[in-house]
Amino acid sequence: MARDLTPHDYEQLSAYLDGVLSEAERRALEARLLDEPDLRRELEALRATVALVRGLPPVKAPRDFTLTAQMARPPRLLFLPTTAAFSAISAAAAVLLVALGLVVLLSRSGPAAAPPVMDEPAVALQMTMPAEQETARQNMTATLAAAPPLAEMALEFTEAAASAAQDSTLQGEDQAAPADAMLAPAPAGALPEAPPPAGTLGRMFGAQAEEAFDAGLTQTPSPPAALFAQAPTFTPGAASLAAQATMTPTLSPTATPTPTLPPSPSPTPQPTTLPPPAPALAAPDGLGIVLLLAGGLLLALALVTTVIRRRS
Amino acid sequence: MASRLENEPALIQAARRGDLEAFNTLVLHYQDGVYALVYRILGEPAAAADVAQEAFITAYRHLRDYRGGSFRAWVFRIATNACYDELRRRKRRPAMLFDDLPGAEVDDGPALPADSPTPEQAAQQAELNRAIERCIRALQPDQRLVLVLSDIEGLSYQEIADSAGLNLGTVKSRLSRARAGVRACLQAVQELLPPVYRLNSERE
Repeated sequence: MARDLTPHDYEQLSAYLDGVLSEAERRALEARLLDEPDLRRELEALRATVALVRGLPPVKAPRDFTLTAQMARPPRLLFLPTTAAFSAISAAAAVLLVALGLVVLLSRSGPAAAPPVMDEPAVALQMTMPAEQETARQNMTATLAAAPPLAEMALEFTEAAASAAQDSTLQGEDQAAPADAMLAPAPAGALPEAPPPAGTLGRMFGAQAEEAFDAGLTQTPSPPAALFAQAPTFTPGAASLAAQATMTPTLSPTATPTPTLPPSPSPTPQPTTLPPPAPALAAPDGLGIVLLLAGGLLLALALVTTVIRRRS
Repeated sequence: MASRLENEPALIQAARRGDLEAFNTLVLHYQDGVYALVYRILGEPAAAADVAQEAFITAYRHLRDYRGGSFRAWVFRIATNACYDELRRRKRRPAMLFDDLPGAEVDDGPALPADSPTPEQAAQQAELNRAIERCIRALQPDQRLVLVLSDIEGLSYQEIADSAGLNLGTVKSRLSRARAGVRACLQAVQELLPPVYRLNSERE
């Protein structure tokens, strides 16, 4: 009976079948096999078992497991596509968002309604307010802006914007705000406050406002009316490009302080409303900051994907 | 099955440099063995195909870790680990244990040998094969792995040791226990066995 076989016996038998016993072991086992019919029987049973298992019909792969190029690609981190195109697009989008964010934030800084104190950017940066729009429109003709009653509010907003700018991790923005402040000082109170313009300016905002702002900075003496006539024709894409372009003039304080005030959303809608529309009036700084943060996030995404791609 | 790829080292080198064609040549050579191994361990065709594919992907990504020796054993080791991962996943979801699936043996793939003369013999052979497979699956995973590597894949003890991450002594003892386990299990289906295979230990 097989029961008196020890595990070691089984090991010997199994190894014997595979021919892996040492010469001494093999001889010893073969000697025992001659004397022990149970051992012999067990060997045959084991041999039959192995033969049965080996006799199982071969299993074939149901399909080819060849790797596609996609499978061969290194594993994605957090499912991020690590293609160069993705990084490039992310980076481009980041630049656009940052530019747009700057535009939104800067569009708040118009000509100083308060005394043209050069050394106080907070005053110079101005919130565009409904009443100011009027001023802006007036600016078109006079290239002057001032809304004395708004000065206080402007100050508030500016401070918020300034602190937000400092909070922002983007260096460019930090520089941009003060630079803008330098540019901003304008002849205060040059124009009297006028009633809100009913829809003439419409919701000049975001890039469009930026457009006007930019134009005002760069082409100081040009008739502002032309600028505004021009503005609505800008496509969002063009506008954002222009917005990007503005960053340069904004940073270089060479432009003469001509306060073409970026108009803020007015109650009356204009046909060409840009992606970041009127609500920005309610939370203008918020929008700008969100855009900047989103831009920063995308930039980080672009960097991370680039690093991952390089490493793999 | 164990035929050698004559230019295997060159293919491995090329694959290491990112030559996917070269690697796929290796895949085509080893895919039947890898699939058979995974299938015998897991016992379920669909999961086996997924795990086998996963194993080849892992192998490609870790080609740098291959340090010579039997490439088959190296690939099998990756496949083995993938199987263990799958088994662990199943353990967390006990409902998916193949042993519990009613009629799990029905989808056991091509069970008919090509040279079965009569339908009756073919049916009997198929039944025997299912019994053998059932007995293999009844083994502990550790024993099952060694048995499959040895008696289905035809690996040497050293290759089994490499594939399963065991020392030779453990391979030897585990294999003997696995074979004894299948042998005892097959006692239950004595009547299916051809006389020449009768495991006649009961006759005392």
